[in-house]
Parts: sequence; structure tokens; C-alpha cells
Amino acid sequence: MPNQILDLELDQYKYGFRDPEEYLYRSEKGLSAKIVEEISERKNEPIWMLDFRLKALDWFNRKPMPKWGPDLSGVNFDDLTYYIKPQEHGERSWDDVPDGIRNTFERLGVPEAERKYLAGIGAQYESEVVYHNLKEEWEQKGVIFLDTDTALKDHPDLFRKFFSTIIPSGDNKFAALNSAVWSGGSFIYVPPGVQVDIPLQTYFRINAEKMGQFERTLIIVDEGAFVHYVEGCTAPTYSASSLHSAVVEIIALPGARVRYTTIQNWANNVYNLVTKRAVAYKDATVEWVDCNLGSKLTMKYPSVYLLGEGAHAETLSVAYAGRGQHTEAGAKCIHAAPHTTSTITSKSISQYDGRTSYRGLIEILPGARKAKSSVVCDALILDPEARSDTYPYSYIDESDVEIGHEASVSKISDDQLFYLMSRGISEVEALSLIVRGFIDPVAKELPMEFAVELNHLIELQMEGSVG
Amino acid sequence: MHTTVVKEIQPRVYEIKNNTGLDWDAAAAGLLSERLGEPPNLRSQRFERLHQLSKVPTPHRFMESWRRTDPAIISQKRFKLWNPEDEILSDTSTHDSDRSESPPVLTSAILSLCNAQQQSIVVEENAEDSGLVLASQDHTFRTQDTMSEFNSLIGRDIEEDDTPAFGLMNAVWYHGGYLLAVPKGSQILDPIWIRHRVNTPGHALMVQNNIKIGSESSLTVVIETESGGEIENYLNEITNIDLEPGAELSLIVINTGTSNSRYYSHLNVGQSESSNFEITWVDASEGWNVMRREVNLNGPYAEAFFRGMRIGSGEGSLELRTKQNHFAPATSSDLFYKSALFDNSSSIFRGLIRVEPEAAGTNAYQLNRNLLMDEGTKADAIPNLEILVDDVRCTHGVSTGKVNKDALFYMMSRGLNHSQAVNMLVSGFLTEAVDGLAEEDLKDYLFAKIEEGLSKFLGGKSVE
Amino acid sequence: MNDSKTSEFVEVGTINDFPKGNGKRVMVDGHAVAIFERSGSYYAVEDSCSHQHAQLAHSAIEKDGYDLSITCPRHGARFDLKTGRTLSLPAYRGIRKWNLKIEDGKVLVDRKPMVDAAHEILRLEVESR
Repeated sequence: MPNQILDLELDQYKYGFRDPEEYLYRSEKGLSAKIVEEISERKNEPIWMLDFRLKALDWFNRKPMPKWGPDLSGVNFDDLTYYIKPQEHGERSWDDVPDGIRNTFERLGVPEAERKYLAGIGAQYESEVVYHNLKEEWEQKGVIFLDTDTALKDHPDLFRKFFSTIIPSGDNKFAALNSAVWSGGSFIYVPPGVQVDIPLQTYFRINAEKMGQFERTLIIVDEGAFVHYVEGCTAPTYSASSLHSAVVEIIALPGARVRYTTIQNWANNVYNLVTKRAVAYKDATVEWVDCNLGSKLTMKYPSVYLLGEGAHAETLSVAYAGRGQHTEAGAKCIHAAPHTTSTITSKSISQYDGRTSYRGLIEILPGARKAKSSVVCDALILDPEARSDTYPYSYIDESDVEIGHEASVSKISDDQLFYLMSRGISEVEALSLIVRGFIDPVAKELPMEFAVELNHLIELQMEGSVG
Repeated sequence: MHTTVVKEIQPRVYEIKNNTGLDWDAAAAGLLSERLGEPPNLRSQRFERLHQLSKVPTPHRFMESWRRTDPAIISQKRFKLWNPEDEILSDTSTHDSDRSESPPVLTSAILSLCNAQQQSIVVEENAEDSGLVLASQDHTFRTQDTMSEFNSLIGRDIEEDDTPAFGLMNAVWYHGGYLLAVPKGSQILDPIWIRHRVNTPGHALMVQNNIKIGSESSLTVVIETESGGEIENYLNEITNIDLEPGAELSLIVINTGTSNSRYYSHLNVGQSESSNFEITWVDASEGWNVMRREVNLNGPYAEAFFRGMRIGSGEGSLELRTKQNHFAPATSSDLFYKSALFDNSSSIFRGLIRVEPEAAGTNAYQLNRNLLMDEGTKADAIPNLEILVDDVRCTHGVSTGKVNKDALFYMMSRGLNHSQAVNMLVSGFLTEAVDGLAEEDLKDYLFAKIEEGLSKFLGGKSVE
Repeated sequence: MNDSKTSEFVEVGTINDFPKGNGKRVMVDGHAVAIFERSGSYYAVEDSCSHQHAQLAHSAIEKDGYDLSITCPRHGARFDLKTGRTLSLPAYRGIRKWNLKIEDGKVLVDRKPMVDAAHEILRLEVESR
């Protein structure tokens, strides 16, 4: 038995370093029209975007906080800084990135990752993209992979045509907030027929106390094309709450396939409230692969609107909630066309006094004949104070359908544990093995480095539960 | 918009005298209390509930929990309260042949009610000797000794999280209902049979029933409710059941109704240690139905089983809301609900399993399967789990779809024609839901009811 | 497919009844219709968002080049004011529109609605660049 109990807080020390804060510009605390105007001006945005931001601010002020679901009373909008810009321009070469920022990424392991064939890295630091490296190969094929700010300038028509069509500013309070103060994020366009074989990735982190992160991602995959986008982030530990409110919009045109993978390990004081939505047209496929490990509170319901015949949606998610954590993840699939299919697999683990909830929706609208949907939610509760909830909604307005839903909640069986330990495996290892087996259907879909990171993190959690 | 004027009813069957409805006010509550001969404490309890009612919101369809079933159908604006002074003269010759039929099994007691008023009652001697109390409220308070038994149960405040309004309305204006009690240590072998015929054209009837099973006693109760007639009527029925330690109750509920029936029913069961509750239901109502069925497993080793089926027809809708609440350790519950929907009917299932931190060692299961037989049918399912302790085993599952084509093909390849094959598959599907019932005779009775309900659709009909 | 020979127009008011640059609800054959005015032109669309049926009559009109759009006040879904087509989620379908004409200062609406946009799903395309 280890002498020290490694629990989540101690674990975060591995990532919990902070650089002396060298920033070029930081807005005042709190949110107002003046701040929004400042942000737009510093980014040199066209008038329509300033107008869009101000209208979104109006929505944000009007919209109430959601009353269903978890407790959001700890979010203090007046106490956050909404914009920090560390450097003047985005760069192409790793060597050009300032030392302090580069050190951060060295410690996060980015250069290693780059050596492993990652095609383009958009590294976002605070609210701006610092570093970009886009491989020539894809540039030739017409693939666009830029930070959102640059994309707005370089591809204004394409940008404007799709921006905010999937998630309008009025959608919910946090989408409105993001729409008003968004900064950074990725913009991807893949032309017809192009298959981007290697995942496009980005890392970013929150470094300043009381900083909110509002990146805005827009992915457009044209007919018959394919792309896999991977988003992974870590953040240091803070005493006051930090807010992360991202918006991700994905458009999969006929025959396209998009996979969006997230592995999130925010520190325990972060509120992670994300709006992610995709539309899939005829015969297109959208896959959300979602790993939620950190944060104080996560509310995330990746959705897919199946608008064209034969479209398919797949959502795989793993959620972990430890001390003082509440993770609410789910999925929504709306079938608006015939012969559409959706599969949702959700695995959640609650430990100590953590709480995981699955909140999902399957909606079969009139006309969506021969729709098929299958939802599987399994939850593992490791401690008596932990909690697990499942709230699946299915509203079916078509008769010619096949809908299935299954959920289970249990603890680790003593028999399983005994069996493994009787084979000479330590209790920690046995627990880790069982938990890894439990999340395997989702974990096996992750890119290798993430799968490794995930398994390592699980082992650390299990160590904390023993001894 | 329906008017509440009674018109164009076949005079041969019904005649309404004095078409006065009662208003939804304190005076009506007082009148109903007086008519039942209630003691002062129950009368003032009604007024207290009226005061509470004035402070709660009226349910409306923009509330998430009423999104799929419009509660405006039973709004106080559409129905006046049934005045017990209004009599219905019914022609007992041909129409309700069921009513005069005796139950298919030997019974310990039979109670027949019409609009919450007792029509007839028979109690076997040995049941009476065991201390069985069975009465209709409009007869109870005339015999002082039964009063104390039920005083604490009547008008009880039910905890309702999202819409207390309907429960409170009932607590203010209930017209009566049956009372059933078994003292401790009594094993009543033959079932109790209760029949309730409800027809209050254009009016609302509120019924409150109370059942109390004493320690180590056991009982089977069959309740047949037939509601509705030629004209829209609204029945709001609340049944409170208390099971003392070691008590066993098997409840069999058969619900039929015309397309004009509007039925809101709430079954609330409290279970003590080691008690056992089973409810088996067959529902074939063509009207608008909201049924809440809740068990609170308050003592260790308590067990609850729900099994039931529905045949949906016409424009009929059923919103079934169940709660399996586990408050004590080593408790278990199991729910198995199947529906076969025809025409434009719908089924909305909202099931909650909640396991509190004190309830370690709980096993809780829930399964809902829906067959959509015709194009206009709809089935929603919202099964929820709230688990606050680790040592549990909980699963739930839902599946919705059409008749399995492979199974159909297989049966036809064995010589059955299309409609015979469909008939077999659907009745097999539905009867499985009630198969867990121990009493064979009663099971056969339920099977027969199911066949009867299906014969309208699958007699000679070819379903795709 | 609106044959002018068989279309029938009803009067819903005079041009003074409708606020400039804004919208107002009228009833046409039991349907709730929102009449909007902008720069001297009038438009009539269904006064009900295809998402959750919120009223659209009080939406602000936005202009982008030649296009006019309205935004639903509940969740921000946008509709093209001239055609009724949907421009964003959560409205995955459009709304009905009615033809109208102005004669002698009177606003006349065609009884029969045009339903094509209401059946059409949100259309997003990359045009050739």
C-alpha cells in the first residue's frame, strides 16, 4: 500500500504549474458592451462581427440561468476577465514561440506529440492562438485549418455563410456568452472528397486566475470528405472559479464523415459549460467521442441533427467525477429524415462524493420513418457517498421505428475483484483493470496518446481509493 | 370546446335528474363532507387543503413534465363537480352485462360501486371473522367503529413534486371511495373483488380509496374500473395503500373506458419492513389517462413488483408515471410494462427509480416495451435513475418498434396466415407482461381480457 | 403553385395599421400571420416559429445586402423574411408565408399560404469559390 494517498488535487500538481503572467493585454473584469467592443477592436474584426457580438450580449443579459439540472450558483459573471491576448500574431514555427509559453507546452508534451505525425497543431494559449503549423500537403488539397480569428479575416464569405447557423446566439445563456466574447478556437474546412488521414489537434489551457475560456470552433466538411479533430486540454488548479464556455458547430454535408474527440481534464474549480452541435446531411456521419475527467461542474450534451436521409450519429462518452465534482454529460440525437440511425454509448464512474449524470434526448420527428436508435448508459459507483443519475428522454412521433435504450448502475463486483487478486494482482491494479475494461468501448476509439493518458489517470484515481 | 349541457343521450339508457353541477368552491367541499357524514376534523382538513391548493400552480402543457399530455383536458373550467344528488337511472337490461356477471373465482367479498356510491356489498363470513373491513365511504361513518381505522388515512397529503394540484383537488372535493382494512395476522385466502362503474356525464368525480394491510397479513384484491359513457366525464382517483411489516398485497387492476373517459389516477403505496406488494394491470381504455403509480420502500427487505400491459386504441392516450423509491436497505423493485398500440393511440412512460443513501443492497429494475401496430401511434419513454449509493444493482431498458418481421415470417412459414401470426405474436407479447401473477385462475381471467381487447383489432385485420 | 385566377385576397388592415420597420400579428382564416414592413415593402409569414411555436411578430428585421431576415425571440432561430426559409437551427424547417399586395392603401393577404419553405429542411451549402 502506498504511503501517500494520491487523490485528484495532488495529481493536479503534475499539471498545476503556472507561468509568471506575461501578457500583452488583459481586459477589465466583468462583462459589458465596452468590453465586447474592446475585444472586437483589438481583433480588428469587420463590423458585422461586432454587431453580432453586441446582439449576443443582449441575449446573454436577457436569458435566464437554466433551472433544470445542476447547481450553477457558484458562477459569478462579474468576477471574470473575458479577454487576454498574449502575443501579437499567430506563428508558424515552433521556435518562434516565446520561451515562457513554449516551456508550458514542453511540459505538456506537445513537441513529443508533434514528432508522432500530428499534422497540424493549433496551440491556443489563453485566448489567442499562438502557434500554428499546417502541413503543406493538406494546404494543397484545399484543407483549411486555422484559428477562428484568422479564418474570419482570410475566408470571410465561407465563414459568414456557416457561422452561427447551427448554434444561434439565443440558443441558451452560455452560447450567448460565448457569442459575445468568443476568442480563438479552430476553423476547419475540408473540400469535397478529401480524406484527412491524421487527426488535427489543438491544445489550450487557462493560465490566469479568474479567466474564462470562450473558444469558438466551426468545422465544415464538404461532400464525401473526412476529418478527425482532436481537442485535449488541461488546466492548473485555482481557488476561485474559472468558466469555460465553448461553442462547437459542425456541418457534415452529404456523404461526409466527421469525428470530434475531446479529452477534458480541467482543474476542480472550473465550470465547463459547453454547447456542441452538428448537422448531418444525406448519408453523412458525425461521431462525438467525449472524455470528461475534470472540472468542478461539466454540462455538455453533444447533439446531432440528422437532417438528410441515411444520416448517422454516434456518440461515445466517458465521464468521471471524483471529490466535489459533478459531471453531467449526455447526447441528443434528433431524427428529422427517414432511414437515419443513432447510437449512444455512455460510461460513467463516480468516486468519493462525485456525481455523474447522463441526460440525453432521442427525438424521432414525424416523417423520420425507419429510424433506428440505440442508447446504452452504464454507470459505476465506487463509494457510498457517490451518486449517479440517468435521465434519458425519448419522444417518438413515428411508428415505423426501432428504438432501444438500456442503462445499468452498479458497483464493482466483489467477485470480480477477488478473482483478479487471487491471481496475484494488487488491489489497485485490479481496480484499474476493471475500470479500464468498463470504459473500453469508448477508450478504444481514442487516439493512442489519449488512451495512454486516460489509463494513467485512472490508475491514479484508483490509487487514491485504496489504503 | 365541449359544453357541459347534457344532450342527445339515449333516453332508454340514461336519464339525468336535476342537472346541477357543483362549483369548485368551499361550499361544495362542505356539502360533500356533510353528505358523507364526516367528523369535523375531516371536514376542516378539506378546507385546509383548499387553502394549500390556492397557492400551487395550475399544470399546463408548457411544463416539461406535461409536454406530451395536455392537462387542460381536465381543467376545472371544463367540468363542474358531480353532485351526488343527481341520479342516473340506468337500464340494467342489456347494456352492462359485465356488471351482473359474477367474478370467475371464489371471493371473500364483493363491493360494487357506481359514481363512488355503494350499490351492493357481500362479505363472506370467514372473511368477516378474520376482521376484514370493507366499506364504501358513503356508508362508513354511519358505523362509528370503522371510522378510527381510516381517520388518519383519509385526505392524507401526498407529496407530489411537480404537480400537487390534482392531488389537492381530490383532497378537497372527494365524493367518497372504498375503504379496505385487514388486521394483523390475517391471511385472507380468496380475493376481494371491487367493481366501480363511473359515469358522470359532463362532470368531475373525485374518488379517494384507502387500503391498510396489517402486519403479517395477506390479501389479493381485484379492482375493475369502467369509466365513461356517451359524454365526456372526468374521474380523479387517489388510492393510498399502507403495508405494515410483513404484510402482503397482490393488487390486480383492470381498467376499461370509453373514448369519452378522462381518468387521472394516483396510486401511492407505503411499504414497511419485509412487506411485499404486487400490482398487475390490464389497461384497455380508449380515453385520456394519466396514471401515477408510486411505491415507497420504507423498511428493509420490502419488495415491490409492477407488471402490466396496455392496449391502445382510437385516440386513447396513457401517460404512465411510476416511481420506485428505495429508502431502506436490501429492498427490491421490478417494473415490467408492455403496450401494443393501435389506431392513433399513444403511450408515454415516465419511470423513476430512486435509491437513497440509506438503501444499500437495493436491486431495482425497469423494463418497458412498446409495439406500434398502426401508423398514427406514438410511444415516448423517459425512464430516470437517481442512485445515491454504491451498493446497488439497477438496470432499466426500453424498446419501441413494430412487430418483428423475422418472427412473423417464421410463424407464417409454419402454416399460419398473416393475421393469425400477428395475433399470436401480439397476444404472446402482451400476456408475457402478466405472466408473473401467481394465482392461476386470475391469470386466466386476465388473459381472457387481453384476448377480448385484441379481438377488435386482430380478428380479421391484416397489419403490415 | 398559387394560381392568381383562383387566389382570394382578404383585407387585414390599412398601411397605417402596421408599424414601419416592425411586425404585427393578424389572423387570416384562423392562421396567425405576422405582417412586417421594411422600406416600403410588406411581407407576411407564419407568426409561429417552427421550433417551439413562439410568436415572431415582434422580432427585429435584419438586413444583409438584399436579404431580410427575422430572429425568433425564444432561441434565436432565423428565417428569411421573403421566402420563409429557415436560416439556422433550432428551426430545422422553415415557416409558411402568404403572398400579399397593397391596393389603395389597403393591405391584402392571399388566403392560401405557400407551404414550400415549411417543408424544406435547413439548407447549408458551399457554393463554388
